[in-house]
Amino acid sequence: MPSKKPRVAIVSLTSCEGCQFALFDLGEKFLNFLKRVKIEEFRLIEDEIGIEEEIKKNKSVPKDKIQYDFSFVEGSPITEEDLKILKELRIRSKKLIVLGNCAALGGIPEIKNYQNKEKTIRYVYKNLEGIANPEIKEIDNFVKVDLTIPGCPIDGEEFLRIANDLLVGKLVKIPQRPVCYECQLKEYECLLQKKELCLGPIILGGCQAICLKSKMSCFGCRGILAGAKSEKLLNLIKKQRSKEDLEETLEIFGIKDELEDVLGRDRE
Amino acid sequence: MKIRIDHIAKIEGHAGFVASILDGNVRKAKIEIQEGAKLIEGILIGRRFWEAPIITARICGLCPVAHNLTALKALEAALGIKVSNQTIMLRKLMLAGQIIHSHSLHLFFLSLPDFFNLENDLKLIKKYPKETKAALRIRNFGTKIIKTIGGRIIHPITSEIGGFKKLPSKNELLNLIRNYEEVWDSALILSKLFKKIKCPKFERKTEYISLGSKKEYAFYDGAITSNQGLKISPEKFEQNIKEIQKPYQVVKEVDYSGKTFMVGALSRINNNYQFLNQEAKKIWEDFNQKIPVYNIFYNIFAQAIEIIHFIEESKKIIDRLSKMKLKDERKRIKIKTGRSTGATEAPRGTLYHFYSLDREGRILDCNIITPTAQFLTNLEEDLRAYLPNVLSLPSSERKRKIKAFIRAYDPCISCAVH
Repeated sequence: MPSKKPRVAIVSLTSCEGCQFALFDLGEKFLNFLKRVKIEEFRLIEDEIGIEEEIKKNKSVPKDKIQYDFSFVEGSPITEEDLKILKELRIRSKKLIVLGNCAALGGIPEIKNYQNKEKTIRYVYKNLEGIANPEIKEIDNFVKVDLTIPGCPIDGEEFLRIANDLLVGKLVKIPQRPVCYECQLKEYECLLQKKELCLGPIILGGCQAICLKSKMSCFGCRGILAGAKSEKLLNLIKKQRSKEDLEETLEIFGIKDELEDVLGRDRE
Repeated sequence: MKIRIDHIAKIEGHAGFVASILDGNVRKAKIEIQEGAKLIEGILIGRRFWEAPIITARICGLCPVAHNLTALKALEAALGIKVSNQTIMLRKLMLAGQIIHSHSLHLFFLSLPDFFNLENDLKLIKKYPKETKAALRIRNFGTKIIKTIGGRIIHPITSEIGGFKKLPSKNELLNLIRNYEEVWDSALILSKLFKKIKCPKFERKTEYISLGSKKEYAFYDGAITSNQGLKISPEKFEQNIKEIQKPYQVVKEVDYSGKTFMVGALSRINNNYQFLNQEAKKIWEDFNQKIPVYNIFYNIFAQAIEIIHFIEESKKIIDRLSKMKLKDERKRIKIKTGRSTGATEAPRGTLYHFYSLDREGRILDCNIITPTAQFLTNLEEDLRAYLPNVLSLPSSERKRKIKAFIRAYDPCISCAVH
């Protein structure tokens, strides 16, 4: 018997779909990946009945029936439908992997959590009926997450490395090193030393320090590095600029809430 | 009779379709948006001006360059900044790369299978290996441009208010056109494939709106023009637009003159085809269509022609840039109050960003009008006219035709909602 190909689902909730396009942008490499798996769900390449239609028709699967070995999901659960798809996806999947900053950390849509979100929606819409405006929460608040591939957007090459490991049964964690590690290795100019607001020392690397390569500060789209000495960096930054400035920058990619502890201590 | 399509795959974002028909008359034909509201405009209020190009790029993973550049242009106008010619050339190159990138995905992977009755790209790839390679090569040309100039394919890094944080080296620029012959051959392979397609017959007159210019195929700059004689500044156009939001609708209807209108590749060709680059123009003329073309299926051909045009355009810009000595020409930013509109041609049509800033450079007001929001009512009108042609078909075949029709528009729901 030939070994069966792993069944894969790639699904997006409300998002820019940039993480899915990051896969497409791998070109031939991505097509080769597709050959190694059986794609069960990927609405950018197939127009067959999928999870979205089944949910509309209330077709849920029995709880013990695994349909996908690996599912990858990007975006934020904003609509009720998003949430249903996410929960159903979890039930159907052996392993659920989240893609990107929105799914992992709330992303750009989470900025409204730090505002008066009723005011935020009223600026955009006159008629609020039927328009979901939940507090934005990371996907692991709703379902169990087995692995996170971070970034805004994800790095396609990193996806391939992780996905190829998954296919041979390895669940590999991303090396816990800060963005500065790669930045220094590549000898990019240190923006912190130039007194720019850069979060590199406390942010999970693996992005090849792509922003620093272009002289753009790290705003933390890959999330806080486990065990990072956040307090030290934030104190340093606070000496150079206003607290407001710092906090607003932390809001952009949804990491302010991850640092509540450190920021809160200061508020007392 | 009721027609319901729960979910339309192979478009950017999530939407369905419903229609009801009584005695052969279409009573309702509606695209049902299934995307959550990200509230980008609301989120931006009160924030620092320089965040807008970064945040709005995240509206769409398929045209982040367009959002980024449109925000930059609007903010620069508000702050009274005039960028250098070099900056404009680099931005045009980025935008050309984005259009090639987006069109080649839509054409080959999203829309083309409809014309061969294939429901899965994997079947398309198997059946057309040579053409798949060609499509990937073209995409690769586009993505490499965006990456080299913008620092990354999705969500640009280098572009900022006043100019560029980092400039490409001469070598990097020349690298982009090292395999130009191959890219060019690939474009011809694809255009041959598209010539084989039999375009469904369908016509409905409408207004085609796009940027227009007296000297070039406008995409980064220009006045708002149409096939019906419209000529107005982007600022005025944006101010005169009425955005109507009905209950339960996350996409606002865009009303300019009381009639629906179309934007995007077919609009640009209808308005500006005389400025197409040489080869693109020749191939377009081979289609032997009288301008303006009112058959929306030609939007697909228009995209194919634009791929060729923008490959030629990219080559021209790269040739010029690689002969220049690029230097840091960033303009200094002096924060002040101001308000302005910026417009560019995104892959799917004219994109408008408006910002008003307070004297600390915080955003007081902001409005984003996306191409899909502009053409959504035109699409629905078209569908009303198109549905009677497919009513006698078996249900699954009918749905397939409707989806193919919608996909020819290349809607981007993520943009439309934003």
